[in-house]
Amino acid sequence: MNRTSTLLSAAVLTFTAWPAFAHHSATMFEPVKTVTLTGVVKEFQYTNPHSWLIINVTDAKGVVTAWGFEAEGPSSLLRAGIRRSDLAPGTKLSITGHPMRDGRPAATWIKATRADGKVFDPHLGEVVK
Amino acid sequence: MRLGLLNGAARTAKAREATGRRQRRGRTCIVGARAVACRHVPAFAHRGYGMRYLDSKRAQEDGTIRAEIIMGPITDGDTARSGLHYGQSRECSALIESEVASPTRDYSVSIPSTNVGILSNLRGVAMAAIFSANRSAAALLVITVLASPFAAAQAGSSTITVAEVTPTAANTPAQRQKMSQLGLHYKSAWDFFEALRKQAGGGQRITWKDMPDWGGIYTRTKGGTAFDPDGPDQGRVPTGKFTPEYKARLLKTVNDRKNGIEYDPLSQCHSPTYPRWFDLPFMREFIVTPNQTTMIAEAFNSIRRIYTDGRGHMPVADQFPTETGDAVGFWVGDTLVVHTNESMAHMYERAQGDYSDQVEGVEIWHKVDSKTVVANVWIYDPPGLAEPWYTRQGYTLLSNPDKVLRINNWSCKGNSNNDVYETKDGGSEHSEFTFMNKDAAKEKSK
Repeated sequence: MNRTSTLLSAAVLTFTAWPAFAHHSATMFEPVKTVTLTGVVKEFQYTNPHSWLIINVTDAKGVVTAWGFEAEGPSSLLRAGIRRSDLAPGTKLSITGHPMRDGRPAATWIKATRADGKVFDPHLGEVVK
Repeated sequence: MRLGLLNGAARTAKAREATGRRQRRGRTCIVGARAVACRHVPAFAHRGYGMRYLDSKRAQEDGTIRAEIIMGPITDGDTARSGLHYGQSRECSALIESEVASPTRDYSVSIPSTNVGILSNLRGVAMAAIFSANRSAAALLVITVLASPFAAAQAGSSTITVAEVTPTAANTPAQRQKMSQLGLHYKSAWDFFEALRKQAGGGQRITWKDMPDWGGIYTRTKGGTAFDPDGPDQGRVPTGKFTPEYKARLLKTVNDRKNGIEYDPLSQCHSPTYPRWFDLPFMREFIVTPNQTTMIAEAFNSIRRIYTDGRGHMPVADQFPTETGDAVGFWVGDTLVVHTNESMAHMYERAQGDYSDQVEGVEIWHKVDSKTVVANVWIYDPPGLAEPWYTRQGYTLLSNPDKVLRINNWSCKGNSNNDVYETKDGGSEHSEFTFMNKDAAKEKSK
């Protein structure tokens, strides 16, 4: 839990598939590379136009860094079955996202897995059944 | 015949009057809603008239020919004048039509036969209304000469019925082709709307008893945020046929996006306006009442009010661009027909093309099954689109068994971590994050 692990993948796409965001372009994030971190929820900013899940990640030297994972706003999260209470402060999880290109500790939220194994995929909030 | 006022030219002429630099008065008008930019073209004089063609190469591509008639001496300044751009069609239309009905001026309604011959040789049928004020030494006029395909289509366009354009559950390429072609039969969204209304006998008023049930929370059926749900994904060139200027802008944004350069004014919480309203993500509501249908897109609190109480648009002189446009409509059974104008210029979506504040739309709304509301939409935008852009916009009723889905006020500035600014190269970048600053402070305090 207190370790940071980073996975970078370099798949080649036929065209650049930037993550879709309504309010702003996502070109400040890596379109292909991903980062996976483990940490503890510090705060779940359940807001429009985007939500931010802030987690504290502690590295091997014990230094804590707050990472922010960006998703769409509350209505999309609710449609994805992600409620604010699901990820209360102190919740342990691992989370994957597309990191920022400039190296700041922020990423788009692709998928989070809580310690109890429950998966939270905000993109399910865009699925039309 | 549709006539459009060229605001830029009118302002230019007015300014010239005010400064006394030119002794011209009158109005500068363009016939037809499909105005294009004036290019530098040769001018010639004939019996006191002058004529020059406006971007005739372009005109032949989109089926129209535009020419400018100048009554009075021609100067080099005329050919160099660049203010002859776009206009608000109804203002000039109303002006001309009222003058024809009740002339208050001496009319000189003629095109020198030589010039008509030239026009005919090029292509199409000349349609012109030339007038000049009594006091005017000369009047500067612009006419658009409509090519025969458009003129012929216009003549037969009043036979269109709402039933022919009402969306169905089926969505086939053949239907799409038919709808796309249909848009070409009308020079403007207003002409299209009026043809439908005429055929519908003015339309119907619905009552509380016969209103269709469009209740619930919807979201876009497909397409992501691409304007055309049946077109390529966002990031590829969309299906709309743009004018050269707007196409060049579009292609640049598509290419820039591939290189990671992209910016959206929505990042600064600007309104998405109309018709981008159609491709907004997230949830929507349709509230039907007898005199008004309210269409709410959650994103940016974008609310459209379609008045169905028989009113028309705002008087032309009082019109101004608004965030979601001015919409009027009528019902035929459970189908809603809408005309929208007065929107602000914006983009269809990122890397999806831009539209001007002359953009107008005709929409045919119908609930095609128990959970799907669909609109056939034709967008007209003379500066930006070479021909109407037909799309089929669908919205699906969301399942909400536990009733947690509800549309709240959508605060665009609800979290400073979402602040995004435009970079010098036209890209997007997040501002400072509050969570970073706090942690940095904590680290320092240790």
